[in-house]
Amino acid sequence: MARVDVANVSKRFGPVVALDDVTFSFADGRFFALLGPSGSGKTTLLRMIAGFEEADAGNVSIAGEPVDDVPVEKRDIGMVFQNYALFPNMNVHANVAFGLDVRGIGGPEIKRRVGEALELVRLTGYDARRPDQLSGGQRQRVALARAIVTQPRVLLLDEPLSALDRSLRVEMEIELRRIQRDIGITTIFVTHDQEEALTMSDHIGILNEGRLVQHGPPLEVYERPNSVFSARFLGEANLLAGEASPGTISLDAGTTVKATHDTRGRAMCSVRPEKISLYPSGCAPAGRNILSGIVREHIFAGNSLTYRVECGGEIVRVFAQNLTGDVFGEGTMVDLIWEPKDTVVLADV
Amino acid sequence: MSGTRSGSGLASIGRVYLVFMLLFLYVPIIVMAAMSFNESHLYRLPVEWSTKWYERLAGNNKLLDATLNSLLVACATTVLATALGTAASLAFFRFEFRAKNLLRILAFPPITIPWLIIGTAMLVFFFWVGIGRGLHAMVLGHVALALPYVIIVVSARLSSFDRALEEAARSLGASAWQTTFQVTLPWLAPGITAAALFAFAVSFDQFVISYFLAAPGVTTLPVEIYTSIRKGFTPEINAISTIVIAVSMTLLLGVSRFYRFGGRS
Repeated sequence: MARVDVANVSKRFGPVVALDDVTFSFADGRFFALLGPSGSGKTTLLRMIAGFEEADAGNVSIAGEPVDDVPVEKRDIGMVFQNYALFPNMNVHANVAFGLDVRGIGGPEIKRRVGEALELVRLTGYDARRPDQLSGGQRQRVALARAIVTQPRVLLLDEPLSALDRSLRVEMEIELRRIQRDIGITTIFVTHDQEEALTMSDHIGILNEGRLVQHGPPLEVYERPNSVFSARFLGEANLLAGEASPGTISLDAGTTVKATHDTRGRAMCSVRPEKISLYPSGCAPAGRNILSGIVREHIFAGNSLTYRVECGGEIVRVFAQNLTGDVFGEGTMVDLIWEPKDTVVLADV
Repeated sequence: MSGTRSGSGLASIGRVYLVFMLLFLYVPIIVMAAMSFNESHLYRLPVEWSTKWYERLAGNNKLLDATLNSLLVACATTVLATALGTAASLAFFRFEFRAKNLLRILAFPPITIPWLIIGTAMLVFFFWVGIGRGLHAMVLGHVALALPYVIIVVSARLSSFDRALEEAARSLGASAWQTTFQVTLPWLAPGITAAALFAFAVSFDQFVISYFLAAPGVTTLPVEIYTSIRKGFTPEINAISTIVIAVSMTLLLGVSRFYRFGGRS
């Protein structure tokens, strides 16, 4: 177990900038998600920590020691690959034992530790199966057992759930999290799935075009996005432009609303669709932010409703619980209400 | 209806074609095998069962020596060409280096240049540098011929290799050597076996280059058969040919089973 630090790392592939001056500390024993669209550099960062890519500039260290000149096999890491990369010519036992075998560990100990690892991923008794006799979820578990059996300092996961179908993925998310807590290993998880990142990690880092845009605990990153990219990539966001002065922002859509910021000038603010409540026009309680509009569309999904409301030429999305069974029909004049703290003024316009 | 009829018409043409092709291919071989067991050396029918020509063959030291030489050269060629060709394929697969494509192209002329020309060139060159003629020269020549076949077959298998397997091995602490010998080569094994067979066949069948590079009195089986036929045909040649065919067919059948078994993983 160990912390991992990357300091000012940059990497280019020909003309493409994969990583641009990224600095981050992955604290010991925590579960990190690196989230970003494809081409954002998240996989490059993971492969750099593993040792498969060399940084053009900057340093990587594990447990405080620089590893820039340490080859992959000496870094003492465990890695799970996107398509698991199980050795097809070996059975489950041999796959899991591989890392112990190449370290010259003896027979009885290998048997014991492989047994423990398979028990941890709940595959006891599958020793003699070959990879092509396993389901996707089972392969995933073998790959995980193989990666942790050597008790590595860091566990690196490269989109490990992307090849699984939906229900299996949810099950593996819980399983992965349980195993990570059990053994307390520093884990770095690369994904482009925001839900995976939110549900599994202690800490999310959002990457875009090779830069670390924002990082923090999932709730904080979700509630306080710092940029248009973060707001849009993690969850859904209504982006409203306006003129900011400390404490308020005059929206182009027509009203002045309260927010918690101290900047001035042109600004963009984000309001999450589920933070907004709808009231019939004129019936809204006072003391909160109000924006008037006309319902243009509603999508009924049983327990919830999605509205598209036109406010001063802009469409605002609103998620509502079906509490009363009443629905605002198309063309209804409504007031949109939300708390001042849910108006997040973004750093970039 | 008419579509079906013309379809079945095409199918029957196909069937006739297949029958003719198989006849064309196998009748001469079957006739040869039958005649190797015929008492008469004049191909007189009906066949009078006899192992006379096999007994004669057992006493024909020239043919037996030539067979032994052929096996020796073919085995040496197989080992050398397979090892070198596999190493070359791995290098082409793993590394990016200058003139890689040029090198790849340069490996293939032995397939396209007529053997007669290669044989002449080798004979002249080997004399010039002092290698001369003999079995060692034949091995050199055969390895050069077999190398491109090995590279093609092994590279074909490698092209579907998932590099993540090597990366997984490295991440688990395996050195480059351990990765190659415990992960890459076992995965390549069916391709390497097929390549080795090719190399063996290229060498064992080779006539032109062997003929050029044979030292007086030291020949291989194809060269010896050619020389004997020029002196006058005897059914002993049918006998040795039948043995060769039986051995190579058995080998082929065995490998085709193994290859299917380990082909797709």
